[in-house]
Amino acid sequence: MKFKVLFFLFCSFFLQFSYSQETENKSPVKFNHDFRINALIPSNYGDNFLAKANDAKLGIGMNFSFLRIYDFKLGIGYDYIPYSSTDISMTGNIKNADYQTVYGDVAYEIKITDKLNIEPYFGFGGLELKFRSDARDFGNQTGSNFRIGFNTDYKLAKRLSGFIGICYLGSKLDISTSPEFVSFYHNAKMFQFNIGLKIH
Amino acid sequence: MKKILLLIFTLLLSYSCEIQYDGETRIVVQGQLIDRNNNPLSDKKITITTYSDDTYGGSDLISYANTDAEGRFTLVFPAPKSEEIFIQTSINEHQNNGLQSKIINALKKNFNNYKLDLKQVVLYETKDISQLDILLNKVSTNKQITNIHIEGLQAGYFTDLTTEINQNQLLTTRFDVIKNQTINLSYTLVDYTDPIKTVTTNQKAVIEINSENVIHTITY
Repeated sequence: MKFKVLFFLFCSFFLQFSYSQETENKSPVKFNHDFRINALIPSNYGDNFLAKANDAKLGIGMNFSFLRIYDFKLGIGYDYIPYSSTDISMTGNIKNADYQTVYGDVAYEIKITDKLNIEPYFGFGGLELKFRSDARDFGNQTGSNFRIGFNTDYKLAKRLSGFIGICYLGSKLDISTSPEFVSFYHNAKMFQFNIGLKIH
Repeated sequence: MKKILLLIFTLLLSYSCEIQYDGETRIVVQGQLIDRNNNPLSDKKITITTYSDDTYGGSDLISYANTDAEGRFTLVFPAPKSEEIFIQTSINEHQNNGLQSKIINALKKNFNNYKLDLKQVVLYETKDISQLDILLNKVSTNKQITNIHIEGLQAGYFTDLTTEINQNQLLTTRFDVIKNQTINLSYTLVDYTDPIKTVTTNQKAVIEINSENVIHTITY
């Protein structure tokens, strides 16, 4: 539910500002159109379910930055990371878990050279962890997350850049279980290494 | 059109047979396996199966593991959404290692704060298990035997945590007991001879179990 509400709010925000075109070049608020797509290499750590009982596979991420206020950019994004179970005693006899998140973020563009930018950012989002074995569904967990990181963009063409980045992602998932396992299933921490393309 | 309807019906039927799980609720089954001398039993297989009692109900092998070096096991898995789904713990089943197997049946209501703690579970060697049969020899028309109960070491192949004791209307007359021990038998004899006053007496007997199966006859 949190996942869908957050997505709806950001779509509404985006639609509202998409109709407010800049009337003067001096306006600090501008419509932006940076679109990133990247491969995502997750590295989970800590004493928690995703780190100890699962193995992360290569994920995919997308981000659309739609509004620019001075050098700050507002955007929305989506990440998908598949996991495979490695400890049946903690996961149940369930092969896979799919981590999906929709988030909003604020980035700040720092121009280093004509071709090189650095963009630190932070963001908040909703997430869903779906448990499945082949086509069989074993329920899901929902929660929220916080991210902080940066991307380094290198201009390849007029409207195309390549980028690499690193991000810390901390998640909190809803869980009801025996007290000694609450922290294990409630928390998730990871570093994400991103490599991809930006169309601007 | 008929084929499409048949396909839709089959898909709906298969969906309804599948057990639904709550991914945000995790339940725990834990315990320790020991032998009759209190030694831990390591590397023994524990499986958890969920199943429905419905005619077309499904079942899932929802978790499994082996006991550790201290005979302990802890299995955590998503809880079935329905309160009526049985959660069956099978211990050392189909292993052919000279030890007995055990099955423990439970529902979610048997879990205390999301946990079913089986504590210490004793497995006996199969060669140490014998059978005691209580033969009821009814020679009167006005008497009835109720509540047969034995005290002594039992194999306990099957434990059902889901039924209350007073719901069990059937008399158990066959027991899997451990050889070379003394069993204390107790039962209730109800006498309906006097139509005004029913007489209920508690009876006891001592039964020696040696190496062979034993039949003990109660004549009433």
